[in-house]
Amino acid sequence: MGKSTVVPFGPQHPVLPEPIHFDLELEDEKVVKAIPSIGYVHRGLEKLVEKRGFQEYVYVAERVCGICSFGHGWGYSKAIEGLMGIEVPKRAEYLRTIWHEISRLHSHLLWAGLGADALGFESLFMQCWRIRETILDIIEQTTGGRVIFSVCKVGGVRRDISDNELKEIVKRLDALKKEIDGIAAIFLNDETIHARLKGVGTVTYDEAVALGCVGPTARASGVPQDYRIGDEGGAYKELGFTPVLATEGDCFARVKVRLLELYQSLDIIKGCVENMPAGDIAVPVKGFPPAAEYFTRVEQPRGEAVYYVKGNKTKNLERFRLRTPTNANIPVLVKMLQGCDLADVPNIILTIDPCISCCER
Amino acid sequence: MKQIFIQTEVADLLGKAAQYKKDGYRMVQILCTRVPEGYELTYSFDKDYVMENLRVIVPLEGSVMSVTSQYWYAFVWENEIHDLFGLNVEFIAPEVDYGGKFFHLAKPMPWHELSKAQQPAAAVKVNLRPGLGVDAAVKPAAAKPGTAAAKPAATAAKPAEGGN
Repeated sequence: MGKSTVVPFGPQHPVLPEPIHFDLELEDEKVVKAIPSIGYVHRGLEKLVEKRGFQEYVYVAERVCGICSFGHGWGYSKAIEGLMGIEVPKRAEYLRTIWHEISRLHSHLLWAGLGADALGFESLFMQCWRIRETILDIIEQTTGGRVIFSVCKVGGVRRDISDNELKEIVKRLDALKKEIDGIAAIFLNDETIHARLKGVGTVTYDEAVALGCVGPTARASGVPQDYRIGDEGGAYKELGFTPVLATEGDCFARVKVRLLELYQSLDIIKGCVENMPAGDIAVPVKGFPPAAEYFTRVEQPRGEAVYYVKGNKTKNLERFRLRTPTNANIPVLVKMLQGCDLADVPNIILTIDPCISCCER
Repeated sequence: MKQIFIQTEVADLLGKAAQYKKDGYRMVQILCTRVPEGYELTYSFDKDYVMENLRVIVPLEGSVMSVTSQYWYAFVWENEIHDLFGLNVEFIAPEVDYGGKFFHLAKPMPWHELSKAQQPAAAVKVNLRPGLGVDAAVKPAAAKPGTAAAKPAATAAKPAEGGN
């Protein structure tokens, strides 16, 4: 038996964009046990719902996370719409789907850059983030913001995208597809990346199910779980949707799933543009949320997010709850780290694409 | 999304969670809300994109059994509920029972107190003259001419500017 040591990992670490702490119990270079703890960026945003009007709170919900901000605004709005029985116009649903998939492109490219940096591929990191700029430009052009969109509201969306603009976006995304081909080729074919990621942090199908993980982390282990299939909102049902799956369950499979989801998002946006219905983009919202409760879900770039709202016939809600994908993926991360080499810890943590601000709210 | 809420008792919670596990449900989340009676806990389970919610009310001084024996990964939510609300969750799997140290918080149990929004609506206070019925509630005294209360509210009458 080797020498036992406890190595603190985080909350500040070069590969961690946000603070999370692990106590890594090691035997020589092998991790025997990983104990996570959080709370460094807990902001009590759920509690703020008691002090902000239910329509105003959309802005707060968006600020839960800087990367999947649109999805949080959408999830919260969807929950209020369900609570108040509001039917959103079809055009608004299609526009929401476009912005949500653009968010996914933004999130996955940002993550790919961070992953490349952690692997020591600095040029690849810069290429990923350069490509991401096109996405940010489209976001700026259509919403006015680059990170916080502020276009989603209870009852629909605030801005429309003209048909000419939509065609222009499709052209830019077609050009982007070729750029993505370039980075995907490196991630999927490079020998060093294979050596660092294949067979590392493996989660089998049974383990993924037993540990309740979500999003690309679950799909990389072959679990066909993607809430875009079951979603009653958005354009997914009408356009048809099949989740991207891999079966290996290792770090490389998680990279592969995210890269293939980039292509899938491009196709979904194209489908939305081709089938964009005409009509209103919002309906007026009258009155206050009733004394009732409502659960809804959104498939965020990192996985399923759950939204709960409870009204009390006033302009303020009594309770808002958000279960984020990272919150559901912490347990599987603990299992992934058991038995790995200390040198692989950063890569394993990065492949679940952790978002700690989301997780702690 | 179909909303399914099933009320249950604290004593039956673990058995029902075990049944969900046996039936192939995934645990989605645990929600805690402070209510005047104590804590309202909602355990959500999903199968084929349909979510069922088990609802229990735990008295303020009471405790609830951990479901980590059935769904190990529930430790994240159970520790969070303990740290934020102060609810005692018993028998969390020992390797993941943080004993109040999962969340690094500046103020312990910040969500323990019942907030104004969670309190039942305050009863309307009726000021009665002694010996008279409810119908004889005292009207606010008319302000004397020249006092501040008698002056017209100039700012309130001003039309709102800006906005859309």
